[in-house]
Amino acid sequence: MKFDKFIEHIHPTKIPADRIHISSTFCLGGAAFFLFLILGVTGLLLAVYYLPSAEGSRAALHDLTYVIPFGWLIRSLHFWAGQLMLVALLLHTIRVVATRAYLPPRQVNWLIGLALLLTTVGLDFSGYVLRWDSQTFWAAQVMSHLLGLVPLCGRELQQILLGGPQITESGLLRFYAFHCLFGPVLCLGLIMYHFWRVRRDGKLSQSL
Amino acid sequence: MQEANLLNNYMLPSKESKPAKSRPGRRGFILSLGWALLGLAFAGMTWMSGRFLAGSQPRSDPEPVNFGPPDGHPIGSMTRGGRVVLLRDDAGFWAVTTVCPHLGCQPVFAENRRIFVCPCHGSHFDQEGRLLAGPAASGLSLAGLRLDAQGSLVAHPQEPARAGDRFKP
Repeated sequence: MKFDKFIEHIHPTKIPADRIHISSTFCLGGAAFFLFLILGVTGLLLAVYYLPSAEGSRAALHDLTYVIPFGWLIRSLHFWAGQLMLVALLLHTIRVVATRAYLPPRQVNWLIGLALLLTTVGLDFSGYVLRWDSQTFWAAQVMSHLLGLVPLCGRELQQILLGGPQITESGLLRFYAFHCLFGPVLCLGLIMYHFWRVRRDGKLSQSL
Repeated sequence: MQEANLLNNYMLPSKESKPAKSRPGRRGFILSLGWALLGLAFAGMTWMSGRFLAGSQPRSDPEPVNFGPPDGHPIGSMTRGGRVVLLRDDAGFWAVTTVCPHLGCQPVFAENRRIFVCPCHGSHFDQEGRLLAGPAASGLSLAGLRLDAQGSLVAHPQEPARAGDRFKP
């Protein structure tokens, strides 16, 4: 079966035979990657209608929910895949901690994994802000204030996030650019490196 | 002996451990069914994506409606014709095109309350088509009114009139 061969090939070249069983990892990273692919496809479709401006986002969300055929479905899929990807990643992190998979020789991949988790949180948050209603506006306000509290470079980070001292449409455009471009590209690059290191570092879920 | 154990411990399942190929049994049938359902789901998603990208269905433009001589419509009257409703008050005539901007349903005129109500999703509009309640995002458009050569009042939905304008024959 070709699919079995594919599963074998994404594992390290040498692992104990019993580790091939799904219960050794629960394939949580794989589930998160599958959800990432769903997010990519539905996100591309949503990008056809979304406009990053106050009036544009309101109209686009209304049309997507009520007017465009299957718009509600594509939007819901994107939302739920985003939520579930975060859940899958958190469970994956717990599994990695429980099996002490962060120990050498896999410490670099552990850090890459943490970077992926943070990027995903950023993607989830920026996607939430794209709704641009009163709730998400205040969420962005709180986030920018939190960033402003970072020692030494807080003000600069705030400036980078919002493009100015206040949250305006230029801030929305930055969230949009991160959500649709910087975040996914960064995520994809890290995922590819993460997968390659899983194979290179070996020792799949061994210390449990 | 130790080497053999090590080898056994660190081996992927060997090809020999798989059963010899025979005609597909129950397991093979269920597997094929699974792949077929997956293919079907993929085809369905592709079709839905196509519909999504094509956007909302184009609504056919309502035809012009001939309402006959203006004298046949007393002040305070309401006359339906095609997808246009003709109304008259002291100041003159106006015509509301009954195509809901939400999903293209036909709002009906509730005479007792003098408002338009969309039967599909409950949008409300006042008697001049202005939006009172959603889910529609905008009001109903008004059709332009003209007299034809025979002196009949004709509503032209393709030539929208401005809200508040009255036609005096």
